[in-house]
Amino acid sequence: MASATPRDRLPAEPDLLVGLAGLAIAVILFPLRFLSGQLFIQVLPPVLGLGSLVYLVGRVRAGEYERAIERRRVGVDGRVVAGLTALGIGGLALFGATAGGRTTTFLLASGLVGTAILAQILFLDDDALGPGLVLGQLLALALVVRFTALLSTPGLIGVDSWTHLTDYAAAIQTTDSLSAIADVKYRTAPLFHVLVVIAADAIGVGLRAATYVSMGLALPLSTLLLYAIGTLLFDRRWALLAAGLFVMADHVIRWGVHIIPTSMGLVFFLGALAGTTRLLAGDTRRATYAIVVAFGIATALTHQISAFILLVVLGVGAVVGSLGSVLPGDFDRAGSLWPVFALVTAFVAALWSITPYRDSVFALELLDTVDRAIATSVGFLNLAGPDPSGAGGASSAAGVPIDVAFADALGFFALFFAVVVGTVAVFRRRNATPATVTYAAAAVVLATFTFGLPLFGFTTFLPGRWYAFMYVPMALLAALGCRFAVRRLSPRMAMTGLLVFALVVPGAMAINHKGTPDSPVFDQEFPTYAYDETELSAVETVGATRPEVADPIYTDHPYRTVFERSGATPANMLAVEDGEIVHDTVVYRQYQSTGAPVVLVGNGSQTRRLAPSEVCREDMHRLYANGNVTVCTGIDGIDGA
Amino acid sequence: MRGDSESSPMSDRTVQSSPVALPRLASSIDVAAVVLLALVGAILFSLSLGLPVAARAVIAVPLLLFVPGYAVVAALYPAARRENGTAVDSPTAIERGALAVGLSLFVVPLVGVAVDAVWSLTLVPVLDTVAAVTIAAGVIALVRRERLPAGERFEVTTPLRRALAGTTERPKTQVFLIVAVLLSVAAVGAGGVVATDDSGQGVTEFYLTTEGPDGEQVMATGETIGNESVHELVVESPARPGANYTVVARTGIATDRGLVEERTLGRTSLTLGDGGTGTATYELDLERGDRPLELTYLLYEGEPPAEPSRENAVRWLRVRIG
Repeated sequence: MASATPRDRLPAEPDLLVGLAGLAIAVILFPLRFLSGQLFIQVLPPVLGLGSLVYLVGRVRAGEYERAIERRRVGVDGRVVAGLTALGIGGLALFGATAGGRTTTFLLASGLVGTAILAQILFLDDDALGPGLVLGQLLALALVVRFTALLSTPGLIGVDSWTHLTDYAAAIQTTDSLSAIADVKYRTAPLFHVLVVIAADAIGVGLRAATYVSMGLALPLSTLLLYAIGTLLFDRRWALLAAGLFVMADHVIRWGVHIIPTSMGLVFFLGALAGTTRLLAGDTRRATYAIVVAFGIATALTHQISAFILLVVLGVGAVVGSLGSVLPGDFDRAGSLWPVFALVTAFVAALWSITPYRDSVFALELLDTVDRAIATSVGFLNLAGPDPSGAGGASSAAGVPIDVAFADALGFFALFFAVVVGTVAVFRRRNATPATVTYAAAAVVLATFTFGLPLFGFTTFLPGRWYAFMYVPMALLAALGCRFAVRRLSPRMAMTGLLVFALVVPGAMAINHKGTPDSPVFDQEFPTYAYDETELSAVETVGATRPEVADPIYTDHPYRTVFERSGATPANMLAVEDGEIVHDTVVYRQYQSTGAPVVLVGNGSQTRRLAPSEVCREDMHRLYANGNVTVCTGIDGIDGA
Repeated sequence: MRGDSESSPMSDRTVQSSPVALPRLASSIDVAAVVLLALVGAILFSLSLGLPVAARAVIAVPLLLFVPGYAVVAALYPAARRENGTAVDSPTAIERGALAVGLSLFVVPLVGVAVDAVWSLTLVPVLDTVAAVTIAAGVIALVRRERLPAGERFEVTTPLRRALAGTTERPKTQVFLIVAVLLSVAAVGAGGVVATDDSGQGVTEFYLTTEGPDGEQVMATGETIGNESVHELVVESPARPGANYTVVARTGIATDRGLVEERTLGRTSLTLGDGGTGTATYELDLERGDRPLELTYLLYEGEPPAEPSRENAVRWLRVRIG
């Protein structure tokens, strides 16, 4: 008699086991809400439990409603719906342009158009659902949403973009040589800057326009890579849904408007995963290995964090492949990821060992930073969150009211719910494939880096940068979760759930502050990382007329970053000490009285609105004014000259 | 892949015995097109024809975002469906397009880095090398496709035909879709024009400079403002060359009750030059007397009102002399 393989010894229904484990983890994590007021700690455990429960309920009632909803799909002509949506997208573009940017109305309207597209994907019948039409709508919406922000914002959006364009890329363009950035870590990761410079020279425009025409276009187009990944995992309907969820996600929009090497890293990451999915599906041609390695090298030559995230995912895939014999799914045909993981790791290690960083090389500095972080900041719940028992009750980490923080993160929570259902569903034997199991494991590991390590005060790996990358497996798993709902839940429940999902996700994602750095909806809580003409003119004039040697000017964050990173003049954050602001030279802008400026108060930074007379006091010289911005200098102890 | 012979419609022997003939149009038109685009682009940019920005963008964008990557994908995956030893079909047209964008973003700047290493990072050698890479990949793609049996080669016309097949059904909805898309494109274009329109009034800046330590005019500092300073007041409004302004200088003594003994020191008219900049200079020799003295410069478009003040000025500056 043949001996049983490890896979034979797996439980008959491993998904039920995973679902129960999800419930158990939710119950275990639930009490954390009493230890920290951090919003995600408050919300994610219940969502995890609810998602697991919904899956288990659906599974227990297996067969009762199987695919009933699929008989209730809408049979209207897909072209009519697509035409109406196209008109909506055109109207949205006009509205955004005339409104001068992404106003709250624009964002909500973009959410409605997104809902219309998701509704097509979820509810049109197979004959009416044209992938080309839907992809066209997704790309058009993505372009309109991003370019409304890009074109209506003078200057650049974000913080790092100023350094990458006005410093690094400008230096390369001026000298026609990469030696201009020989001292910075992008010396070995210059692809973004080189592309922008080549585009600027080829088209004959400035670096800003060149960035928008090159990377600004490429980012929405990279959604097609996610669709391609989806088609290797499941039907086109669910591949379209994954692509839709991805392109509408807050952090994905973020890197489409704040265009820096991270944005390019995200495109390469998608390319690497497209190849990886092929390998895992059994496409073991050398060409496919070459695709993964090429995109791996491209990522390494573009952005260090992106490369690290890719290595994590490739490593997870390699390990999952090695554990294939004890996992559900047929791993016999899948290509091994170990060779590509080893090759890309070796390349990254070699590159980082020659990458200049501070006074050392990147690899050593990274190890040193991790070492120091472990030694100094690691401790359970050592996070920057308020005490839930405080007078203000529960709140977000940055002191944002809980209702605002919840509304801001609602899109993520809705997506997370679908991801939980999809992740559990992956472990059903009929759903499990090497690729789906790898994506489930990758989502868990990426979430650990994003949410788990910060629980211990460990933020060395910049968890904020991981979201967009984490959205790749999340979008795929969420699509799987929706497929489960369609196939296993009662038609009424599935219809209601999916309708709510399609209504909530696009709009909620659209208003998240990470995706709207140019125009946050909750503009009293979250800083605006974009500037109007008056603010940019002031930067330019101050930079041109400040003495060669001058002490820093003081202004709010993020405005100070433009002075610094554009090379105008050294700038620090305004500091309020004993209720007063006492600096030699200060820059006031009206945003400091009406928006969400960040200033130093005591030892920490916080959002605090200031009266004009608090910044530019009556006893100071007022030396510059442009209707919005004023520059004031104290009478005594004047710097410079 | 570990020997999935059932899934492969083609044997090794078939591959070896296939003659390399002139490529059929359907299986080579896509590769020929990208090679042609790369060549034309390289030549046009080498000739420095002074093309307008729009024309340069139309040529450069596909060259940077699609062309080299597409040729590389074509070289890597010559087959339409699964090849010998694989369990998965070759990339579809959409996947090829997506990979082309990603790989182009890799190839173009990588070529730039390589060119920089041996020459300098200038446009023409970079685009010429990109064209060379595209041509090389294109040739490999054509050769590899020709080595496959005719029915197994990737032909871009196949997915195109498939996509167009359903368009003849229900012509009314088809017309509606086309009209809707055209209207949408027009609206997006109009939106783009509106969003990029910078024909507004622009920014008017008003600031005070004094002579710095090296003789250059710098934004005034406490040390350069004093009893015997020369104050240069600058008005900048690049969108309004030729505009007339008036600067009114007033002084007063600062007290706890506000300014007292206010008086007008003088007024200067100025007209912005072609660059939208104008200056007014005040040579100050203030009498020593009550202190602290506050000097206010008020800016007006055209003529000032009878009673100039901060409230009715378009901009104002202040200097405190202690």
